[in-house]
Amino acid sequence: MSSNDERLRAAYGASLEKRGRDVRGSHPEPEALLALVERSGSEAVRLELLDHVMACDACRRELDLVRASVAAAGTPRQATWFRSPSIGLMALAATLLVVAGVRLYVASSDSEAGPRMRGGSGVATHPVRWLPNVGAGLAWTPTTGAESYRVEVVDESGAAVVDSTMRDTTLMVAESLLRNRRGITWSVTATLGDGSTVTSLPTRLVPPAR
Amino acid sequence: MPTVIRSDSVSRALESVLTRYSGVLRTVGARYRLPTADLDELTQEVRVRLWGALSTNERIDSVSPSYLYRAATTAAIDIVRRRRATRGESLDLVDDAELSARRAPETPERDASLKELGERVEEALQSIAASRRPVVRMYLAGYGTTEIGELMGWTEAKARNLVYRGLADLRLRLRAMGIDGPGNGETE
Repeated sequence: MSSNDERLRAAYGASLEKRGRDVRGSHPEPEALLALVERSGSEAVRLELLDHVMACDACRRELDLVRASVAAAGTPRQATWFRSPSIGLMALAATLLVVAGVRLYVASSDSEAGPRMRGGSGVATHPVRWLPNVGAGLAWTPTTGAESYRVEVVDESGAAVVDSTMRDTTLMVAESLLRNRRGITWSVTATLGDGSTVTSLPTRLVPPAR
Repeated sequence: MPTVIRSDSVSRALESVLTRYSGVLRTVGARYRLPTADLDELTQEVRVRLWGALSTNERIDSVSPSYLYRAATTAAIDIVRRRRATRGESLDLVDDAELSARRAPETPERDASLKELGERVEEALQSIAASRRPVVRMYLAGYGTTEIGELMGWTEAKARNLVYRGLADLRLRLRAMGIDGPGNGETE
């Protein structure tokens, strides 16, 4: 970084400080800051949000707080190989396979006739299948070399609704367990033969509107 | 007694995960230039959540990564929400003090000149492409191209390229506004 860049940064910092929180546009909800850190949503929407956050000193500091918290908790990542540019094509192919699998799963009316996949290095979850008066059907893609899968369903307070370890790649969660709970999320951790684990991103479990 | 055994294992699990969490949080927090008070508040918030959930739910016998993740993110969100509710009170004073302490001492003339340049920079930023503006803002706010890439899910090279092009646009606008000099160097 050059001294000129430093002066630009100092000037920008002074401008931010002067404006404080008096920035055009509404301040994003804290959940939107988390979505930005988790990279969920379209890139265009995240860039728009980032434009406000980086122009608003208070929002920027809040974003840093969320980023630090997420980093320290060790964000469950789909797989580190996904970020490697050297196998970008492999990642793209795997993504296409997952998308095709999800489409097959959604199109099918029989939960037993889910996608038949050879398995990948990460854990990708399928959309939840809600069965009226029964519960939520959870499913995920097989992970190569996985010995078992740990399924965790937690509510807003962090209390475990389900914490179950199995070899199967589907699980039905009874509706009675989900009743009167808010902010439910679920994730799957695959334990591989060498003892290492791969965890899916936590996904919201939202019951369909009645 | 089984209850005592469970309680001890929960305490050990809790202490172990909190030690790890707070250790990483301090390191990450320093990188993000977070005030110590923020880190303490966050650690305490996560501790309370884990303790409350672990002592009331017998089905949880260990703290899994996704469980900790959930506790940490909701803790951060709640802190942000609380701060917004009490905006203008003591927390802002603490933050301002932190900011002042971090800044190099400025003479009144230099301070005024920086603020004036800052206003022109902001004006110039408004006229550059919306797709480039956020990354330039992030760079100007003190973040490196690696951090920008991490946040947006880009490679460092892509982030660097976007920052470089965005800064070039910004310099052009500043020159057109009759401001020569600042920011004519290279990125990082």
